[in-house]
Amino acid sequence: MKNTKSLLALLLIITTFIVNTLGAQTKYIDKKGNLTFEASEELFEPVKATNASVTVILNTETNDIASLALIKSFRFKNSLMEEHFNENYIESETYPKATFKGKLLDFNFSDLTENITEVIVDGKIELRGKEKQIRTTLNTKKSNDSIIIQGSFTVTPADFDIEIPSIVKNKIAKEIVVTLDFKLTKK
Amino acid sequence: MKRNKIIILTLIILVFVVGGLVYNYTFNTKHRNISVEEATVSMSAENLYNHFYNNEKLATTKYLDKVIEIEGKITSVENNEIILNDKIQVSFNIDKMPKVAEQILLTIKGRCVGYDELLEVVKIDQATVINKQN
Repeated sequence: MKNTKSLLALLLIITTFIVNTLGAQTKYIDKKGNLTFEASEELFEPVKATNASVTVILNTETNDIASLALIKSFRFKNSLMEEHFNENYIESETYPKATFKGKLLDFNFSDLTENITEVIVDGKIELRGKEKQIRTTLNTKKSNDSIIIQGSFTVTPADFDIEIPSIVKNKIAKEIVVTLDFKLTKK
Repeated sequence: MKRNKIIILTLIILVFVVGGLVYNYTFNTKHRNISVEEATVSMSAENLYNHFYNNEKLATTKYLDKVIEIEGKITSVENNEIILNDKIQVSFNIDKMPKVAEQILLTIKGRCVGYDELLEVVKIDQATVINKQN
């Protein structure tokens, strides 16, 4: 009797272990993703910032993709611009992050090759407590054991209730181009 | 007549000087240099993480953008980042990345950029090593 019990316990432990490893294998993570936005107008100083520590998690079984960028990690060339961005536009003390939650549509991890495959992503960006639906085409490919995801989309300041003062209105583009470059590895 | 000329000349010079100062302030203000700033607070990696985990909003107002000194055990080293106690992700500027191994105790100083709930870590950037113990 005692033997059966310990055998059962052992089996349980083994099963849990296997299930855990199987579950973990479907997750691909990038902790150092690149996200750049640019709202430059010709003739004026470039309005551009890059965040080089964006988190991205892709579940290759469900194709769910989630991403998180901390606002303070966006670096501008001009420090005063960075300050204004944080204090006046995004208000990063109150809204310290931007997130994306969505799905890769018709994505099949096992079909991924070293050649670029176009995949549509659909989901929601959340920034400053506002949500914005995003649907765009991404370029994906396999590189060694990593998944490379690259692409871009546009948003507007109005999408997130960001008011641009009239004094700088013609120096900041109406449409902001966001480009992303992720390299996800198995976790 | 001569006096008028002097006044006008002084005004012109003044306009140029002020203009130059404004230009310099707008376009050339330097970024913060975190490595020479004094840490506002010092605590363990566990402690800092718990502050964010328990009340992210409060911790954000307290620690966001502040220079913090953190002590912890290295649990992971990759490229230009170190993880302390599996809970604090510390990024170094490429030239400042120390040569360290896992499991050793380390004290660093860096800027707190916030809590990442996907990875469940607090992120620190522009870090520098304060001391190294074995």
